[in-house]
Amino acid sequence: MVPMLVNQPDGARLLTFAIGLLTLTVLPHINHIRFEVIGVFLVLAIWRLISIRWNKLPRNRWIVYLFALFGFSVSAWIYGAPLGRDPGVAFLVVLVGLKLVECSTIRDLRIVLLLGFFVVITHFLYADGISWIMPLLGLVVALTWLMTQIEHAEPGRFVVSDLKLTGKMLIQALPFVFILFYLFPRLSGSIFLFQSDSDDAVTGLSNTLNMGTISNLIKSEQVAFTATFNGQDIPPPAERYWRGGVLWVTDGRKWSRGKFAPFLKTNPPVSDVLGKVYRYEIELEPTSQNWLFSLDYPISIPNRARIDVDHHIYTSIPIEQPYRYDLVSNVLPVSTRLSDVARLQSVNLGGTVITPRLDSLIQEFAKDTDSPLVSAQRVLDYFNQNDFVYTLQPPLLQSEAPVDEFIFETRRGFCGHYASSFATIMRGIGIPARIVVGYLGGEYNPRSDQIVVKQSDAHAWTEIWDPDQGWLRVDPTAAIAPERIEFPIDLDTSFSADSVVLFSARDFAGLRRLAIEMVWLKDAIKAKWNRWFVAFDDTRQKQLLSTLGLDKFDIRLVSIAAFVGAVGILTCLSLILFRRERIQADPVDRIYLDFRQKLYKRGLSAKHNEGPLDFANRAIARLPGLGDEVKAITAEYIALRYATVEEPEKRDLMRFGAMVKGFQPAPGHKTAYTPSKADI
Amino acid sequence: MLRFLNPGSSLVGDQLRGWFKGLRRSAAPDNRGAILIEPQKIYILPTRFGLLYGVMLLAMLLGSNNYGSNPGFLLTFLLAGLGMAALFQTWKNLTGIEVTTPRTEAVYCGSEAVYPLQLQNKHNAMRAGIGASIQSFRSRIQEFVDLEPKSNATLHVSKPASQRGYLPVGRVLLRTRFPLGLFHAWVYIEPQSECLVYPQPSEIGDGISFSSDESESANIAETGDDDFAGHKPYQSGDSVMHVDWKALARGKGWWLKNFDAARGEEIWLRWDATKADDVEQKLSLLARAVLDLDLMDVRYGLELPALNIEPDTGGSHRHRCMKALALFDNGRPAAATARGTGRRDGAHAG
Repeated sequence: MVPMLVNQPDGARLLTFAIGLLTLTVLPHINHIRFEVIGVFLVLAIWRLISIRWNKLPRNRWIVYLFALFGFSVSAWIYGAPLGRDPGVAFLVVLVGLKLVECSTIRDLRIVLLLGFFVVITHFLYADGISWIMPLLGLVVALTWLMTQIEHAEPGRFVVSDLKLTGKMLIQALPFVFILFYLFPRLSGSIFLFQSDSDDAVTGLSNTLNMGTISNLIKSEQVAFTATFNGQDIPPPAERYWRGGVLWVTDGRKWSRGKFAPFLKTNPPVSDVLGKVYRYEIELEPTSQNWLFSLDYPISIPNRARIDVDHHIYTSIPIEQPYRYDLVSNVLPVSTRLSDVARLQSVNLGGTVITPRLDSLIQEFAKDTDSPLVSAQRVLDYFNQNDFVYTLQPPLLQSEAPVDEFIFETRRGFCGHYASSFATIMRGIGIPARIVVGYLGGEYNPRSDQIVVKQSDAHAWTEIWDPDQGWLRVDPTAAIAPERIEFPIDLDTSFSADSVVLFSARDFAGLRRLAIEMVWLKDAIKAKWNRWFVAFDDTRQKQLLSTLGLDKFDIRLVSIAAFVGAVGILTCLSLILFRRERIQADPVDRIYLDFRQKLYKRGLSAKHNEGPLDFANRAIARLPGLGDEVKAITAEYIALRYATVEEPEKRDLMRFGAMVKGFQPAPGHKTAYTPSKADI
Repeated sequence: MLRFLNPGSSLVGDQLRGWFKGLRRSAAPDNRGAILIEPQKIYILPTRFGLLYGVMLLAMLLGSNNYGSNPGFLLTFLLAGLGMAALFQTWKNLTGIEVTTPRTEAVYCGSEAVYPLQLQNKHNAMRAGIGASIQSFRSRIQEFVDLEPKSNATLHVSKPASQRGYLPVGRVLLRTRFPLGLFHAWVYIEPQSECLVYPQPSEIGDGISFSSDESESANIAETGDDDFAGHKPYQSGDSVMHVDWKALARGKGWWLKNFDAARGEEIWLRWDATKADDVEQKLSLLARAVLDLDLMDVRYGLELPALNIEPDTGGSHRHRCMKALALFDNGRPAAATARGTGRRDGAHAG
């Protein structure tokens, strides 16, 4: 027989609370899995609540089977087999709901709580899980507290003081957590490779360039990544072109890597050092894509990444967790051979509509020259000398020929418009051109010694092929708004732009400085958090071990030692807590002990299994002159110690203390009291 | 001696010595009859739920590694740390509890002997979910209590009383799963608690008859049937208050009579005059008589081969008689009952 929960008011309370907690743990998954699955869960949870409340709904096995059939068919209909992340989570959520419906014993409830912990961890499989960490840890505390409630003599009485116990256990667990987190061996790869299957809302760059997509991004102040140069020189703002993807294929409106990507796969390109070299590491926020960003032009890439012939770096699986990697870059372009396939693709206009007036403009740019650079300069001059405007709110380009519409009519746009127009014109002339998307700039934060690149730094530029110099970077946006490149959006300008009212006057310079410092500090803390928690990985672990001087040992050995150490610390901590409680528990005994010590000096030591009365009798026989005092103290001790369970009153304790203090047997041996073996 | 009178020795040494010494691992009472649960006497093992928890942690570890999720690792290690902390808390939950054994209530053979155990928590922390059972780990916990800080509570364990006499409680197991249910800690204690088991009173009207003592009730024995004028046969359901005991004692069977008629008379229940097949049946018959006479408030005495209990009434008299029957040792006086009672010669073969 297992204790039943239902039909007793306390059990019902326990179960209701558990259902509430589980619902809270499941709900944030609404961002991750299909809402139908969450809906199934809610139906099941509400059914259970109703059946607790009214106790009338049928609760037999067939209902559970029916619900199981319903729940799993919904999840299977949406996701198929529960393999991979999203189907797995959906399956788990349905399972939790079913367990709630079925839950009627204490044992069931325990399983429900275990499933609760499991649901919590699944949030961390998603990129946004980290931002939920605090509420989720709160839920873990609540679940743990609920576990303690089950184990009481009368489960469901809800002992609030157990929250204190839960807190105490968490504190006891901390050294353990800390040591394991940093020293448990991290494996660099996945053990099982699940195909990641997310179509999460992408916060980073899109892997295509559509006239208009980047503008959404530019408004976001979210951090895209941070770059740490570890005390070395950092690149000047104008050199901070962070390369992401290279787009080769266009249909006249959209640019992408498209079907051309397979042709770009190659061995790592030549890595001749041609200029200043930067060694740095990047902590990339999750993007749900497999692009990695690097300072133009990467010459050494992270272990787990691959590089294409166009210096596009990527991983095999999308970045769902903050990702840290090391890079070496060279600021001068690295020449590579242009294959015939690539040459053909890089002048391919695809379905681009070239209107007659655009065609004649293109002919204009190409007139009397073979040099790509001359033509490019003419285009840039054209942008510069006509009334082109850089704006984040460009009008929509709805015609069949967006490039034509942009160049001849709207003339208002941002990097994406200029880059795609420029690349289209270049290809029209017959000059190989491609678009690079990534980030430009980033702000140096002196507090964390990092360059922080935000989503608002997203940028698109072009590269054209010069037969002599190889691929050259041309940033057509610079022709319109040079300050955008020379002085990238930094705090000063953004402050004056956004908060003119607050910080316009010079008088507020000090205040503004303070505000900037605050932001730097915040970013620096975030950077430390990222460095030591979010993006901690096997590489960082190796660094840590070498800092600690432990890198000579096998990591497994270190972690076993660390584990043993953690258990040891926990043991000592518990024993100390123990000891303190024991001593605190018996103030009477402490005073009595003083009494014994005084007698010990007269050669009387306590014997094994000798009660206070026997001891007193022996003392009186030995020291008849002190008989009355010994009797009185012993009687008082027995009265305080045994007569009542209650904590003795302070007054009584003090009286007892005074009695013992006043007890002065003439000193015999001067040795201190040491317990004999018999005492133990 | 008590552990706290031991301030100088190192704690860890103390524990170690205790662990080595503690192989016998059963806590016995000190000279006050109290048992202090000492840390080294406590066993602890994961529960089935604890093992499941471990499996879950393993799955979490694999998942975190697979997805390279640091918050996942954090949660996994946090739950592992909580498990470790729970191990200590469970262990601690039993430590330092003092068990004393209040008086037991005598029971009849064939029922359950119940032993109360008083648990005292002198500490500032709650000791929750403590259960007790007789002896074996497999046996179901019969009762759980929560011990508030600095308070005491009583638990009961019971075992079948299948034999009359003193039934010692034997080894008792105190057990807890608090706080998380991941581990169960248990300790064996051997409280010096005994329960007196009275013989099982025979069923009313089961045909076993008394043989009366002539000298005492000759006049009644010789009277004719007309003395039974006010009597009618006993039927199941009639109050035992109205049974004519003298008639019964003379072997005339079960008759009802006027309640008042029995007052002021004395009845001797004699071993030798009791007709039954064996000792136990005789005892059981006598027990029934003692109980019924006590209910009727009749003065009765008990004469056993080894002792006499003078006629009297009341609860303590009844207890004295029942105890004598419970401890009857076929002719030899039971040590506990010999005190204060006269010895009779002539051992009797039952």
